[in-house]
Amino acid sequence: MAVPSPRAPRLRTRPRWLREPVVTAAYAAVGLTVALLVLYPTLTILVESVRDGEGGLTLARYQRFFTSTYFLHTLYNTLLVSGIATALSLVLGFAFAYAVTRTDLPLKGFFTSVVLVPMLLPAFLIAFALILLLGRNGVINRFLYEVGAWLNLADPYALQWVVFGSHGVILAQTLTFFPMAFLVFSAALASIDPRLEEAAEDLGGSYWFTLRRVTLPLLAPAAFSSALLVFMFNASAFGAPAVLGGGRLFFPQASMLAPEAIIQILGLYDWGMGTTIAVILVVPSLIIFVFGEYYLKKRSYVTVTGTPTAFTLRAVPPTVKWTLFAVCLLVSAFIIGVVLVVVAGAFTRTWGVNYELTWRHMQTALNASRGSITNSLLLSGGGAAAAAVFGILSAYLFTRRPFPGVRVLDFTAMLPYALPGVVMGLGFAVAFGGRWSWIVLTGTATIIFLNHFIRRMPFGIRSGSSALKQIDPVIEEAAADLGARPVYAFRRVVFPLLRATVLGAFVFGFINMMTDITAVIFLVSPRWRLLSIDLFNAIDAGRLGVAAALSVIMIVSTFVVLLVVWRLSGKGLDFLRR
Amino acid sequence: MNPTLRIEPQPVIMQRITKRFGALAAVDDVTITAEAGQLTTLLGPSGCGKTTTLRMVGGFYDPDEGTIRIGDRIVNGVPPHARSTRTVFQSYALFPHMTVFENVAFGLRATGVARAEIGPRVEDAIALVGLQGLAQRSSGQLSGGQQQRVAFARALVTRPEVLLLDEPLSNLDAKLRVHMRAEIRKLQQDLGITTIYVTHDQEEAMSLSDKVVVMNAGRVDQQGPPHVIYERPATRFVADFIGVSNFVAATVVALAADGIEVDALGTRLALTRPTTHEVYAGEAGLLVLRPEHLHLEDADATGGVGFAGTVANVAYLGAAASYQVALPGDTLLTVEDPAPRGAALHRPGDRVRVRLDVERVYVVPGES
Ligand SMILES: Nc1ncnc2c1ncn2[C@@H]1O[C@H](COP(=O)(O)OP(=O)(O)O)[C@@H](O)[C@H]1O
Ligand SMILES: [Mg+2]
Repeated sequence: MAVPSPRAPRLRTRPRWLREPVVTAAYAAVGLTVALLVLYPTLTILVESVRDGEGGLTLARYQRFFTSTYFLHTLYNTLLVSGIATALSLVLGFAFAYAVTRTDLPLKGFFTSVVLVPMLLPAFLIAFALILLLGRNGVINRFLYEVGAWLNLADPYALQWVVFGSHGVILAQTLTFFPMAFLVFSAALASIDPRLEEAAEDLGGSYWFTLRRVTLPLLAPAAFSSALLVFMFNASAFGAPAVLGGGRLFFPQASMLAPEAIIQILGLYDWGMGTTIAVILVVPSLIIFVFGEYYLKKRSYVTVTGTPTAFTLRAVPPTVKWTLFAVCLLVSAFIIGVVLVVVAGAFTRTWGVNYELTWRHMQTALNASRGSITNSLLLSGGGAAAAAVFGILSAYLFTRRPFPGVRVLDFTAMLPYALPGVVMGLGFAVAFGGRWSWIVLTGTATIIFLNHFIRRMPFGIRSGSSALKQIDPVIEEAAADLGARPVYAFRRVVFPLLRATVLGAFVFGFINMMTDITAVIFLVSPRWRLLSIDLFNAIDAGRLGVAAALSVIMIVSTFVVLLVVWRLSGKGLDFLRR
Repeated sequence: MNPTLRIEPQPVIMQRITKRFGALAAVDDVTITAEAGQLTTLLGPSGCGKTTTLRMVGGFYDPDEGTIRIGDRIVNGVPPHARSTRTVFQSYALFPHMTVFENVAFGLRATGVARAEIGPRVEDAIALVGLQGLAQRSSGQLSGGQQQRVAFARALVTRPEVLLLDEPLSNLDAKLRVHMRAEIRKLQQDLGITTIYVTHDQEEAMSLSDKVVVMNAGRVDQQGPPHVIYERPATRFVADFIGVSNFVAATVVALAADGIEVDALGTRLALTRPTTHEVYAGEAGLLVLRPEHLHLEDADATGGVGFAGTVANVAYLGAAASYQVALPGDTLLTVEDPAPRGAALHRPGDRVRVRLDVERVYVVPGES
């Protein structure tokens, strides 16, 4: 037998980062972007909140927050409102999802489309529409007043249900966020093999027994993750509390966290306290985000198989079926009512008083906000395009050209998804606002664009990485094998296959930016105004007609963009469900 | 042969290459030569490192140790797109958003071949694999066999020096597989292209190859022409993996000028040119007995060398019959009767004699 000879020598080849200069450069770009636009602003907020006047550090503001009744009430209001709105969103989301995936209700297609509408509307627009419906002069309350007067009640206002207060905020936020729960639940329900439920019934389980012991337990991970997600968005919401909450919440002296941070900065110029509240707002979001990313994902029972299971709809007891139908119909009618009432408001002389048809509001809106409309379209379009392309490129890098430590970069790039708008806006205002005298961008379009871009980049990353999972890496190997350099292969093979994904991420980003106020409220300037802020100011000033006109402009322009992308992608709006 | 597809063949020389995934050496100090213009098969059970080896030649992995040469160029560290190798992937990996024509043209466009040249070359390649008329089909509208032809055309149109095939037939049904096997062989010989072919199907390997490389747990057990691999297996693994073999424990008793003498089951056998490895007197070995080299006789027959045994089992297969014969010491031999006559079949329990073609008996190292 031959004696084993020593190993062949290792041939020195150049290290990977030298052999793949494009990848190295791309990583450098992503790293720099994330450091500058995510880490730096977040850290400045943290530092600003503990900086005292003399250049030292202090925790006095945190102490003040947690000892002052006022601030504590702000916190309690936030937790209560968010908790209740989350619970209601889950119930509604589940009801819709169950109705459309597990029953043979009439109008299922209609419900499925309507449920997505709130995702296309700004959060405060629903609150605003509630004012038009259920404010003191709202159509419904006017009608209830007439009824009260007709009945000769001692107090003709007794029948009214005025939307201002905790209940209004909860209603608005539930309507705004339940579609998220719906999407999670319907995906989960669609991937639970109906044969499991059939097996349970075959073994003698009644409908309710099966629902309780099989279906719901299987949905537990989905319920949990959508609860966390919805709570996160609820807790950092600004629009509805600002429009409907003032002085009428559970603890009436106080507001909620996000509006409070804005009051501290824009009303009282107290940057220290504003940033402190922002940090307090970040903590729960961050915990939820980390938990959701790294814990829940591993535990999900829901497995995505390539082949969708064909459904045989099971017999649902008629009481359940028609209750679901009533709920879906009511909610859908309400959502449609929201859109209609805003359109009506735009063309009505004085809402609640004089219903004469008029173009006046539309003219005022177009005159006063022409610049804002252009700015919004350009900055949202540009920001969304950049976010979609750059996000999907990053997803490609992270999943197909990973390097050790890529998870940290991925996590940081995904952070803006979890960080509340107030935090990202305030962070930009502090970091690029001259207080840190480094890069000064205050009052420019650039700061708005960059903010839009970095906040929506996570959409691109998310949808990009889930789309890349559907593309077998061997396709790219084939391209390289045939002599295509990496950039050519990406341009000709990967990118065309991701086209629908890019468009989807663009649309989502665009809608979100058009309707965002919480972040950009810190970044707009007289030179660079935005449509959403003009709209918010109009609502705030009680100029309901102009506000309605601006809303219509926003809805129409969003719709036009959706339509164009729809035609471009040739795929319908399926990508909204990703 | 059409001039646009003429290929300059180059040998592929892998010298002592190793590839590790964590602690596992998927390919472990392996040396393989694929001669220029020949078809070399990597054969072995699933997980033995065939794909990993092929991917190192294609440039998708870099060896941790050792060198790979194509012609006289060392290609370690050269990325796939800069190599003159082309792969036909197991899943074909056609670009789903392109037509047949665009798929085949891809390699030409990617490497900047002049526009005017692309059309005719693509047409030639499509014709070569017999897909005339399907050029404008989208790749999703093709059958499995057609997809595979596109994958071949796509690889060949760029005139590679080396063609790499990873189990190209495994996704086809059995009939088409035999047909395509012959076509691949003809194509390869017509073009004279150096080809490395990965398969776990020994029949496929035997029928296609100029050279078979038998791999076992990341190492090469033997490489050579198919008949050598079959007739003179280097190890028990090779003998077992290729064809049906009986193994009988034996001890080397003496060395002779023209062979060796062994003792097996108490019988002394003189074997001529029986082994490729060096043997010493007293060493343990295994006799490799192919079923077709064993003959069943009546128990009282004499002549030649044979073992006495009892029929344990008979399987009548029409064209042949297969017997299991129990020998003393728990040894079971599979014996083939190539011309069975129903009436004359032995029955279980019959005492028989198994005669050996002594000149075909081969010895491999015993388990140590
Ligand atoms: N990318 C990889 N990472 C880790 N282990 C791998 C990888 N590729 C292959 N292996 C392992 O290396 C061994 C050889 O794999 P492979 O070359 O694919 O075998 P074959 O093609 O002969 O079936 C197997 O044990 C396999 O699990
Ligand atoms: Mg393999």
